[in-house]
This record gives sequence, C-alpha cells and structure tokens, in this order.
Amino acid sequence: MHPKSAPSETEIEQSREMARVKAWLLTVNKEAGTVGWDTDLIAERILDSLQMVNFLLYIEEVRGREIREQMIRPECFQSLRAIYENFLRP
Amino acid sequence: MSATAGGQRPLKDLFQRLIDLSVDAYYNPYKTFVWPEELPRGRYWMSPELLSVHGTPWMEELPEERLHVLAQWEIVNFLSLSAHGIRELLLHVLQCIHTPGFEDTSEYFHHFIGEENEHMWFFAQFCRRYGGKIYPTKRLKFDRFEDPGLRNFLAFGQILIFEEIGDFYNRSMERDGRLPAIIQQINHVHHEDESRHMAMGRLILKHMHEDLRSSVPEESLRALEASLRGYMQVVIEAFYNPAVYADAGLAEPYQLRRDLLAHPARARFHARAVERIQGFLLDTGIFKEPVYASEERAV
Repeated sequence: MHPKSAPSETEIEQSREMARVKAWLLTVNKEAGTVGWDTDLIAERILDSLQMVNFLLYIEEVRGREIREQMIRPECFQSLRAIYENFLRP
Repeated sequence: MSATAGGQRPLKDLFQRLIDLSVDAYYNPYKTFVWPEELPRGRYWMSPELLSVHGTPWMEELPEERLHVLAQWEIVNFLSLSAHGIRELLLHVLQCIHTPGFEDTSEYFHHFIGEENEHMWFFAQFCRRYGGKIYPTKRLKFDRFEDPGLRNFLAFGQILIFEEIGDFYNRSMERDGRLPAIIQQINHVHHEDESRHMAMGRLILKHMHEDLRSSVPEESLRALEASLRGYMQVVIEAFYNPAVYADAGLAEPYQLRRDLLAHPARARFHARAVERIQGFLLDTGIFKEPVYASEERAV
C-alpha cells in the first residue's frame, strides 16, 4: 500500500470542507485572512485555548465524525495543511 | 514560597495539619464502594439542575425519559472529565515532588498523589461499568510559558480551578436522594478528600502569587491571568459535549452545544458554578475581573 502524496495547494483550495474551516477561523480571528496553508497556528497563537477546543469540535462537525483521541495532538493541528491531511482529505 | 502567611500561622503548620487530616481520613477505596450490577434506568443519574440543558427550553421540551438518558451520559461525561483532569494534575505534581522549591509541600504531595490516583480509579470504574466508556478529552495541551516559575503557577492554578468546579457538582449531588446511592457516595467521598486538596491548593497558589508579584513584571502576571481565564472557560464548556448529546439521541449535537452555551440561563449557571473559585481568584488579585459575572441580586 503506497502512502498518499502530500496534497497540492490546489487540492486544499478546492476542498469545500477547508473553505468552511477557513471561514470559521475568520469569524474568531479577523487576522486569520492572512493565514497560509503552512502557517503555524499554534506558534503564531492564531487561536487561544478555548478557541482551539471549539476549532477541534468544528472540524469534527465538518467531517461528520469524531476525531480519534490518538489524533488529538498539537502536530495534527499545527497548520491548515496538517488539518486537511489528517482530518479532511477524502 | 514564603514561610508565613503575613504574620499568621506558619505555612508548614498549615501543611502539617492537612497531612494529619489526610492520614486520619485514609480509607481503602477498593473496598469502600459496592458496585451494583447495573443502575436503574428511568431515573436521574445526575441532578436535573446540573444538566447542561437546565433552565433552557430544551429542559421543558424534552420528555422526561429523554432527560433521564441525557443525565446518564452527562454523569459519565462529568466523571470522564474528572479522570482526565486528574491525569494532567498528577503529571505536573509528579514533576514537582521532591524538587527545589517544593521542600515544604512534598510530604503533602504524597498524600495528594495517592488520593487523586484513587479518585481516578473510582471515576473510571463508574464510567466503564455503567457507560461502557470514558469520553475522550478534546483539549490540546501546549506550553505557552517557558519560565518554570510561571509554568508551575499556571499548573497549580489550573488544578485548583478544575477541583473547585468539580466540587460544585460533587456538593450538589452528594445528598441528592433522587440519584442512585453509588452516585451520591462517589460525589460525597470525592468532596471529602477534595476539601483538603482545595485548602492546600489555595495556600500554595496564594503564596506562589505573592512571590511572583515581587519578582516578575506585571505583563507576565496578566498573561498568567489570561491563561487561567481561558482554562476556566474550557472546563465549564467541556460540560457541553456533542458526543453526549449524540449518545442521548439529541439532534444536531454541535449546534445544540452552541445554542446552549449562548443561552442566558446557562451564563447564570456558570456564574454559580465558579462562584467560590472566582471569588478566591479575585480576592487574591490573580484575577482583576470575573470571567463569569454574577447577576446583581435585587434588594
């Protein structure tokens, strides 16, 4: 079984789920419009601790199923690209 | 940590008193509880006044059988949150025990670690026996402070906030005759032990803050406050778990969570749940403003 290749920016940009996630980010942080696919969401403090919980729950809602406990680690949410790869990629 | 509480009884004496109380109150949790084979359905397993829908239209509109099911999952959620919270606090206390700066508190920490481990055990027992699971935690943990003094203060602040909010629920349920006896008992036993932990936690936090006030810039104190404020909200909002709503058969669980959190009745409940700990944090100057403001009572 071959591991999937990293998603292209086009693939991420065309994802309706990622569009919803990015729109959600903008509602909680007006400066999120400048967030790129590889911006470090944690180091750049794009979200505070409470927003991070709500963000995780929103991702669950968008993907239609819970995120497994083993995947609730900072590196899985480090960037929008990581979020797409880990949770939203078909 | 400064040795006296502003000319009052030395801290060491206060710590020793709490240690003596822990020794006198020691019990075997593995023999204390009699676990029924199953718990009665068609009954509340959590006080209805504590349910996350209480005071909202959902409380009136949901049939009582559905509220019973919701209560069954909400108590599993509460005890799951408690178990996860204990893990986090144990990790931190284990890093501190018998290290520089904790010479006076380490003897007490042994009792704390033992008791908290046992609490985690009986919470997990309940969740697995009667819920078939422990709800996972949905919190990402990452370190915002590099300075060890600030990190320690934050950790002990989080521990105290978590304990005091949990105690609000324990005190409400320990004598609620509507609930099965095992649930009353778990809440009672936990409350008894936590009374000592919270007394200790308040002493530690107050003195840590006094030390920090004389050694770190105001900007750092405000950053600590912001972190603790956020943590308080995370704890309160963890009681609104979409997985619980889904398990209880309620529609649109994520939207339900948002709607409940936005309801004014829930804001009033949150203010009651944090009243004691928030009062302490305001009195000590750790908080400059409340996170959840109480309604002003009419005279």
